[in-house]
Amino acid sequence: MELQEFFQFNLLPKKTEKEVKVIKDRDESVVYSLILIFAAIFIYLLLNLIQMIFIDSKINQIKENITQVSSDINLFQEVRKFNGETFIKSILLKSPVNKDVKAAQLIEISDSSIETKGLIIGYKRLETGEFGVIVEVSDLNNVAPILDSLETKDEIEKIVINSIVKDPFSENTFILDIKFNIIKV
Amino acid sequence: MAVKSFKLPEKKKEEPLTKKIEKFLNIYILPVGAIVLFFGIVIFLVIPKISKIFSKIEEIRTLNSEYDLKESELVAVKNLENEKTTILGNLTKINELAPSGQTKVVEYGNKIAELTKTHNLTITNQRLSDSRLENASNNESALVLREVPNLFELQGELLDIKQFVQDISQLSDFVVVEEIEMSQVNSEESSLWLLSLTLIKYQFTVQRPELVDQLFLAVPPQSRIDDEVLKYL
Repeated sequence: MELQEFFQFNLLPKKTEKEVKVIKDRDESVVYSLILIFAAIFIYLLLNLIQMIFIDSKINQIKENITQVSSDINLFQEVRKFNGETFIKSILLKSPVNKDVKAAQLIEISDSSIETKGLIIGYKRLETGEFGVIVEVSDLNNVAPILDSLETKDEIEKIVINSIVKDPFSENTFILDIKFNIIKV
Repeated sequence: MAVKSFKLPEKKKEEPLTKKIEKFLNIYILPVGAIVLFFGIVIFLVIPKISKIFSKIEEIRTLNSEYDLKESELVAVKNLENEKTTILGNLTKINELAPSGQTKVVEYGNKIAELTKTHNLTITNQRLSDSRLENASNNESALVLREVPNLFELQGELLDIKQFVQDISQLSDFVVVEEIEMSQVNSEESSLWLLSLTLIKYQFTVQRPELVDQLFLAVPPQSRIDDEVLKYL
């Protein structure tokens, strides 16, 4: 005991309780600070690891699959080109094909509608796509049956009488100008 | 003889302010620095990393849907391969309807001229007009459809004219009658009729050969020939 007391001899003044508490707090705060920094770094590294192991590898795998499928698709380039050509050309041809009402159809429909009710003296197809027939009738009472007959045709729509004029060269003869559309049935 | 420790007398004098600040810094500099560093790491490394991870998850979703599309494209392309014969058959027919060269157009004009002779009709006028772009075609496109109008003015008996019109319809060539006008010759003793006919022949023209393959390949493999055109073929 005495010896101990002997070694307690120190030139530095003994620290007060307050100072000891401050030093203890400082030591603890150093530890907590280091834990805080290491935690942040740990979280960052963990996120990096998750990204590398789960996300980047998944992305690479999907990209590889896409490349593989793309190269498989490229093996069929020739047939794709043929199909593309057929498709584009068919789209371009759609409108002309719909316009393709044969001129013979105009003559056939007109002849079968007019029959003996009048005498056809002209057929026409206008630039607008409409069709027309010019009929000579000797009696105005024949006009209605001609129109009725045209009306019954499924291929015809929008029948319009363009004009009815008296023939200047013939007594009791009228010139009937009829317009209509021919549709594809 | 007992050895006693002795205390130096305590200094009572007040510490200067700079000393106090130095002491404060000595104690708190490390925790404060650590907190700053912590937030620095969180703000500049962790948060950007999290947002990067989310954007990568979004990228995975996009890539997955791209992959699904490619997969269905592959299935569609394999179906195309199975239908190759039909596709080629349709393409051949389409190319016959509207050829690419000028020769077929001229040939068609000659065919009509021959037909008039067999029906005892007289050609009073024949004119091949300059080609023009079909309405549905876009002038900027690599492939366009052009219309080549062919005007005929004929004279003959009504029955011959009717038969001639009938026979035009029977020709294998695809033409559209743009304008037709049949009228009696304005003379009392004449039984002759006049036929004015504008026929349109269609022609495919490749305007930009370097882009035409790309244009065809850009068509999705699920697309098929137009129904109305197919019905016509």
